[in-house]
Amino acid sequence: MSSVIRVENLSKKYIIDHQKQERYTTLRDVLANGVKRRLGKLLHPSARQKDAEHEEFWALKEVSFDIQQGDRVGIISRNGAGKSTLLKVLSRITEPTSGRVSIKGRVASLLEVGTGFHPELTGRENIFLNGAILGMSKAEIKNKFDEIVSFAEVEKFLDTPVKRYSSGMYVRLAFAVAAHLEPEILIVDEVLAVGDAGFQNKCFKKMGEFGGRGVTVLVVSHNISVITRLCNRGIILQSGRLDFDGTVLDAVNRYSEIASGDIRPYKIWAEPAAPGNEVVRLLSIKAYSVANEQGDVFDIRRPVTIEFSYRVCQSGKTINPAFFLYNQDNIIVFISGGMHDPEWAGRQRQAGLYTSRCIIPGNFLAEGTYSIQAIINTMDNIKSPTVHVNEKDTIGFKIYDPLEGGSARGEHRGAYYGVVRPILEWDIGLAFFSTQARKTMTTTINYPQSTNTFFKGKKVFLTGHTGFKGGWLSLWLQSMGAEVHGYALNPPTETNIFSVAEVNKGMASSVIADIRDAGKLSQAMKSAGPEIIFHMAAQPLVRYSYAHPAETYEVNVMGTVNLFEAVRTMSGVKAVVNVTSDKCYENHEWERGYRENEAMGGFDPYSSSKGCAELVTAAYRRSFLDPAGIALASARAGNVIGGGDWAADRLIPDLLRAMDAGETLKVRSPDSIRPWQHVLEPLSGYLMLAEQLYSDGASFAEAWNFGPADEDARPVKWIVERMAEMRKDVKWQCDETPQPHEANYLKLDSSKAHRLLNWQPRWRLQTALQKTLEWHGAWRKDEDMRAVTLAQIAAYQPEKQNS
Amino acid sequence: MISKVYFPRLVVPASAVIVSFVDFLISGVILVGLMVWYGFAPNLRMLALPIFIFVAFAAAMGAGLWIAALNVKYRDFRIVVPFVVQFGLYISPVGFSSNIVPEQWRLLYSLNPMVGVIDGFRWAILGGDTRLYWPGFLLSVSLVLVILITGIIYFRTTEKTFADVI
Repeated sequence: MSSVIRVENLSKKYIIDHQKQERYTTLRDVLANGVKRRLGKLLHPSARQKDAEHEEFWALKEVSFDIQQGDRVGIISRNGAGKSTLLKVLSRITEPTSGRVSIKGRVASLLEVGTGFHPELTGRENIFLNGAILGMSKAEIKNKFDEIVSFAEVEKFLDTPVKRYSSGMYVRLAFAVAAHLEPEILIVDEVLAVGDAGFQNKCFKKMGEFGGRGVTVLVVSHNISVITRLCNRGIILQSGRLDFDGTVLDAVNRYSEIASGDIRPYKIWAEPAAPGNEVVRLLSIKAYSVANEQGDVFDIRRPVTIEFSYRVCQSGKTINPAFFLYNQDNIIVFISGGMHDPEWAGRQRQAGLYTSRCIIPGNFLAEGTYSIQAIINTMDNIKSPTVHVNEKDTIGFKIYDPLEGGSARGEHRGAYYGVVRPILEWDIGLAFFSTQARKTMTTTINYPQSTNTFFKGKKVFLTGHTGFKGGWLSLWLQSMGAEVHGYALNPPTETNIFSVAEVNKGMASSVIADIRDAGKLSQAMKSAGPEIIFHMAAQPLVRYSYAHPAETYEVNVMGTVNLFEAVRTMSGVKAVVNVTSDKCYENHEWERGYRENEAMGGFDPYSSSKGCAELVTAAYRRSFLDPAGIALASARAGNVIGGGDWAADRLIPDLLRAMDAGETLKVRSPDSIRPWQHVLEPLSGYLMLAEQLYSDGASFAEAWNFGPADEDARPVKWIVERMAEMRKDVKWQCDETPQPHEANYLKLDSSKAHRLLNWQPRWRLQTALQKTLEWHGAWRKDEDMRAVTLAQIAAYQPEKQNS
Repeated sequence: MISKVYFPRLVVPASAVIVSFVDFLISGVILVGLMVWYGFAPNLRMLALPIFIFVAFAAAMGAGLWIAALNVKYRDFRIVVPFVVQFGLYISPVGFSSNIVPEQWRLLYSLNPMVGVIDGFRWAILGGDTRLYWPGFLLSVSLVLVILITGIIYFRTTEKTFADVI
């Protein structure tokens, strides 16, 4: 990345003459003044010479910066700071007084609209003229002629003299010629302010394309949103000096510090002078987006906190802090007050110092400048509350969009209207879901809870109950009073949740056998006589499947077949939930989540075995179970984490093991993204699904994704870092040895479960990690793990109003 | 436009001279017409014509550069130009022949650059017994070259400040 423009100690001086009346020097005056001075000296030898006052004006003083190829630099400053002079020097129109500028590449500069346009010539002729002046050869212009004309949208007026054009057409034509110049460096000086929004949008797109092609762009503007939309670097000039050179976000922040001057994002009053009365005084008010961060320019995606700090001087009154939010057009965007806080509304205050905060959600306000009118009142009468504090223009802040995605604007670069800019939920067509499913949208579906009576006394057959997920599910079912029968091999690891949490204790039966043993499975199922079946028994590890592919297929595919065979020869089974995996999908390494109807696949033996299991499920459902009135659904979940997992080659268990042993964890693929969730999340989904299958049958007999919230699909690295934050004794490094293939991106789209099952993830990833650590910590301290696990299950229930 | 777009400023005076050159060629056509009408046959000395044309070009260019550069600094310079040209018309051998200038003034008279040019043209086209006063001619030509070279230097030096002054 060589520097394309290098400016070293550039200075430009102009001399201002104060005595002169004429605009320019004439020979006549020089001679006349010369004679006058000589004569003056002769006649009045002692009198002081009144010389014309010469004042030196440094338009630029020692400005130095480097611009690399492909940079899009925005130059922001107040009027008169030297922007246009800088551009003139860069365009080689004028020479610097000192310092040097070196430029590599063809420069096209648009310093003024229609430079080189002759008013009498027609548009067509002016294109050639302007193009020639800007440095294009006639052949080039001819080639680009049609493109230029269509970009400028002046086809109709090509043959009228340019003096008849409107200023908008003028700009469009001028910009069109310059844009098709294919320069290596493009310099634009505020000329786009003349065009309308549609044209400006086109220009930005074009300039954005330039950036993509490695063209260096220099833009001068006062308009912050223009600069942030277009540029990746910002330079600020102040009175001819370089004030700031850095990323565009920092530059914009710095500029607003300079430019807004009196409106800041915080205001503090000395107590005697603080606004208010004998009841309450407002001591300070502050706006911030990220805690402890200065600056008054906030990211549009982030929430903004307004913090009031006030002293209540008189006890016994209800005090209500509130504010009006004004935008730059002096429109009140909204008002909000403390009466929305359920804890304090209507509560009488004791005297003392209070801090009240209001959080304006991210992705709600539009880009622009805002100011806050602070109010503190007592709502003794809704119609006319007693106002103690009412201060206008206390603090101000700006909202901008860094165009990284995640905002309502998305990729759109042009003008985006609206007083607010929320991201709303859209549902594009229900055709995706079966017609049967639509009927169920009116029924209310309840979360599985310990007070839920559905599972009470139900006979549940659970395969894989000795495993990690199976253990948790079994305990949950037990806590709801179900009669749980289990069928699985011995626990897979020496230390395991089955023994540690005494899962066995509350179960009706626990058969230890192989799922591949069709006979034994069928027998165990017959003796249990269940109404609901959860099939979780599997070989769950990707790496193990590379070592033992045949066994993986036998267990995961034939095991499933055996289960279904057993089911279809029985009576009394109403609902079957086959737990497969999120890896059953054909992984295209997309960034978006997979939907249930996408293709099955799987790169490695484990994943493809789960894909096969899905195919088996679908076939058995259609061929045998649907006709028999048995509702069969499959459930796909992401990477579950939680206390009690000691499997090899899983991130959290590995991490905890390393932590306990004091070793450094070797992280396999730190950048791989997976849908992490606490084990209770998909389990709650399975339980809800089972309940619906039981009561509503076939309409729920489909595949379901139970994945985490989109934001919780994080790279492995993120998880490790969060764990490291919470437990200081985590050490980790990347494993450089070649690894068998593991997918990089894997996300689930769980909108179907959200919509039709009313299933929502309840514990965000941070909470999941925390709970896992708590469980692990309790285990290390030899606590009653059964009680701990049941407690965590109980804590998960929605009635306790958890996170 | 000087203050808005980058282009070599030399283009401006050069374009004026080149445009006049085209005018000159058109006059040349008229001359050819006259020669045909009067049945005047040119002799071998005609081949020297391009040299004299080049000298004329250089004279115009040199003078033009100086005046253009000075005009930027002192705006009233352009007013002086018609007077200088008018005066020059009288001391150049336009309406008379160089032969009538007495010997002792000949050298001084040849300080006028156009003397060399016009005498040279006459010598080349008319042929016959028109003689060229060689010392005077060489003086004229060297003066033309001096004006041209210094003109270019001065113009290039001051061109940096044009955008600031205009």
